[in-house]
Amino acid sequence: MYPVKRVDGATSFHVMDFKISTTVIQDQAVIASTTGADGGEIEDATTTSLLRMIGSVAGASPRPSPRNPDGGTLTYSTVQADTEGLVRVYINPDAVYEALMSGGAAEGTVLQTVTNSTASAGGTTVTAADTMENSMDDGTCWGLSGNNVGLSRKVTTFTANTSWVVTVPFPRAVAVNDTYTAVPYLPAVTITLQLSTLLTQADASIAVGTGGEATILELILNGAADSYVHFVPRDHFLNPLS
Amino acid sequence: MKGRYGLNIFRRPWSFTDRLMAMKFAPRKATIPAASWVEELMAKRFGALIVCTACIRKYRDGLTRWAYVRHPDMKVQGNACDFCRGVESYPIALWFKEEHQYPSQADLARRRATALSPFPRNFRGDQVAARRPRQRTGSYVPEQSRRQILCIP
Repeated sequence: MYPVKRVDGATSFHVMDFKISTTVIQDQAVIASTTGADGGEIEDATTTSLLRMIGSVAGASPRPSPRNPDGGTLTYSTVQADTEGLVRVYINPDAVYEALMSGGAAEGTVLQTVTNSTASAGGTTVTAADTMENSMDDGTCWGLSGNNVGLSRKVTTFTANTSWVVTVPFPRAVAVNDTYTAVPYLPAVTITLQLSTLLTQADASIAVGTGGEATILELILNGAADSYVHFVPRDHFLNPLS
Repeated sequence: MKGRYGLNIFRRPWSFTDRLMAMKFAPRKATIPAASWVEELMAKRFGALIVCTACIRKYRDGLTRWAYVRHPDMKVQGNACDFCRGVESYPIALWFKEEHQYPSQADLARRRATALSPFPRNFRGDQVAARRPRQRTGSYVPEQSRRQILCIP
């Protein structure tokens, strides 16, 4: 995940260098440290929590100092004479982050696609035994092949391993062997987002309503491997009203 | 400018540019040669460098050599330049490693335009067909070629 703009549309960000309490990687989500025992200021978010989020890591801090002539590093160390863990972070509380939708906890997993097995002339029902395990009710589905390729609808009824229903019908019949996919996000409605294991992508295989604190703003729906979600952190450290 | 002379030992009147450069780049400690320090900085392949406009001019060669690319949209405001430590009042550019680019606003707009498209992203057949009748010549010029032709000043 990385910021692509701010809520007001600007692309001017504020970045700051922070000492880390855990080893981090580029583009992962970080939060303000919570305990006094660790040696830094920020640490890993978790896959299911973005409380006190600070932002995402742009990289190791290049800012040298007399104590730290080589700049910072992404690696946290408590060993004397090691390079200090110092990373550069986008800290805007109104930053809009973009994350690739992953079909599982592992980064880069392709979204699960389902193949419709029963025709729906009215264009309202997708039926498939390989429908997702987790509920996508109030999520978004779209066609990947067949009659309704490239069209999306809100999922209003979902039955795991069986089918899902949309209230606003697809313009053409849902034919047998058409493929669809569904994700647990609906812009302006969904207020949760679960991160992948390395905290760099969005785990889109989870049920609607689970995950960390994030407001979904936009979906960029392409194929099963290159669709993105845009979100704003809902509990940012610099936004005391959140 | 002073920098043009190999041996800058003879006193001479400062030009206007000299004065500007002196204001921009304050004297540094002799133990920290600026150029080598900046080179080392870039060699470490940091994620995002903040480089002010003056330093872009001064270190453009190094930025290019170490494959840093200025992001077309992402900027920072209120942050100090990583090279000269100066703070500008206007937004200044972020430079990313070439291998770690972020999408530009144009990329995002293109994604939106092609999102949920029933055709592959590079499918432009309908647009080409729509423009074809407007061509004055009878010969068909491919879209890409036409764009290149239009770019010639």
